[in-house]
Amino acid sequence: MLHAILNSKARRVDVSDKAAQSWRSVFQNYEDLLTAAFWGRISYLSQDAMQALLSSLLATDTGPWGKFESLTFWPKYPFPDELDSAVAPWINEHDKYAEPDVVLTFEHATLIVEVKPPEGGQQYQQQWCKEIYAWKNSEEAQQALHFLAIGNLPKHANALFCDLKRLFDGVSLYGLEWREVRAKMEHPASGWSTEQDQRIVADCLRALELYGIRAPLLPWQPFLSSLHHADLSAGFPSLQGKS
Amino acid sequence: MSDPFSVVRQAHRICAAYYQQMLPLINETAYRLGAEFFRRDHWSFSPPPQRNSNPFTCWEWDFLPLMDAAFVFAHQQTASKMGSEDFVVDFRLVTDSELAWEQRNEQYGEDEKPLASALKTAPENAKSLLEIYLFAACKNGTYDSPYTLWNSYSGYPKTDGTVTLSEDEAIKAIGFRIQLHELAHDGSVDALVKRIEAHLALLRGDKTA
Repeated sequence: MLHAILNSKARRVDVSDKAAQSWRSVFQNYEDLLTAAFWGRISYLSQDAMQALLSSLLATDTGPWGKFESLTFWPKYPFPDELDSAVAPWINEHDKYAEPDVVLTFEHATLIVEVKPPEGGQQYQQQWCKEIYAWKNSEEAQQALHFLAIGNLPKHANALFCDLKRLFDGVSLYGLEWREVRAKMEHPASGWSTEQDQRIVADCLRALELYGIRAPLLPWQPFLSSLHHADLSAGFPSLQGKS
Repeated sequence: MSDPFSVVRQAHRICAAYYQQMLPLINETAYRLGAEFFRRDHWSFSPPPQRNSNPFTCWEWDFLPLMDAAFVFAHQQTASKMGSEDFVVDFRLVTDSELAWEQRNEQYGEDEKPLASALKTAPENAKSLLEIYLFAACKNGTYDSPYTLWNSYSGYPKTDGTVTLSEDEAIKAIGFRIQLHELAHDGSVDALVKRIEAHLALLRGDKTA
């Protein structure tokens, strides 16, 4: 599907009662489709590549997390009937559950990912808090928890992470912008070891392009300097033309 | 003795560096306009021949694929046909104006292969250009695809920023040109997008059809 859209082969689709839209614009407007297109492919990476990628993204050694076991999209974690007083101000009485975008489960650790696409809304602390709290009250909460917010971070994200670390002992929090994700995938420290991993990463990068997360344009100055210092015509007067 | 072919190597590296600057710039500009790529065309000279074609029967110029090439994108918002807000944007990259299709025909003749070492105009007297053309249907739903719209307009409008109609008055078009040295600065995409949007407003506002 991704390749059909990227190659302009996917045509149009009716979305609710609106006029038909291109699949491309549908993809661009729905953040859940970015989440699925990107993280669905990440789960196909080999164990080594997955570990290398996450270690690079989070700037921490994820080797101790052990083997990757599963990836779940949008799991629902109910809140307990009685909320802890420390988190009660963060949770609306009508909230029944939290629904993080992606949960990656490893042998000894869990990674929760909250995704915001470039054109989407801002990340916010309350949502992070609810997702961590709900997960910690679930049956899965037997191992170390890591939480990653990707895209549209607030300015003082690190200070907000510190607040939550005080609230949730032992939880590690990380924040990344998409351009950093793209750069680390496109220019890995030691390359991707298998062709399959290379193809998966290439697919992920193309999915990001669909959302405007593209490689930055090259600066002009180095190119202009090289032109300025090149003097190709000196030895080839015949290439100068007559006028 | 120095190797004179180091200059050839340098020239090819410059070409690749030039493509690495220009192609992403065009692609980024189209993306910012919400337009999707649908067609590439070569006006002056042909693209390099396919692998199983005899390369010795084509012009050596054909191995310089971006001498005068067009990259065509479409913004097609909602309808299955080209609507009143939809448009085609055609980026024509003219690397050397002396060898642009019209100029080459005039200077050397359509079927004459110019000798690279005997061109009539010096590089410093020629220009490198990005020509930008916008096309839109005068009536909603006349064309079922961006390609049929673009292909139904014969040639290009002038690059003077005025709206021109196709012969059958079904398509309106507008064009402008910019020299590449004017684009050769960081942030030029922002300015280019604004300029295209200004021309798009002229095109959409035109009611002469």
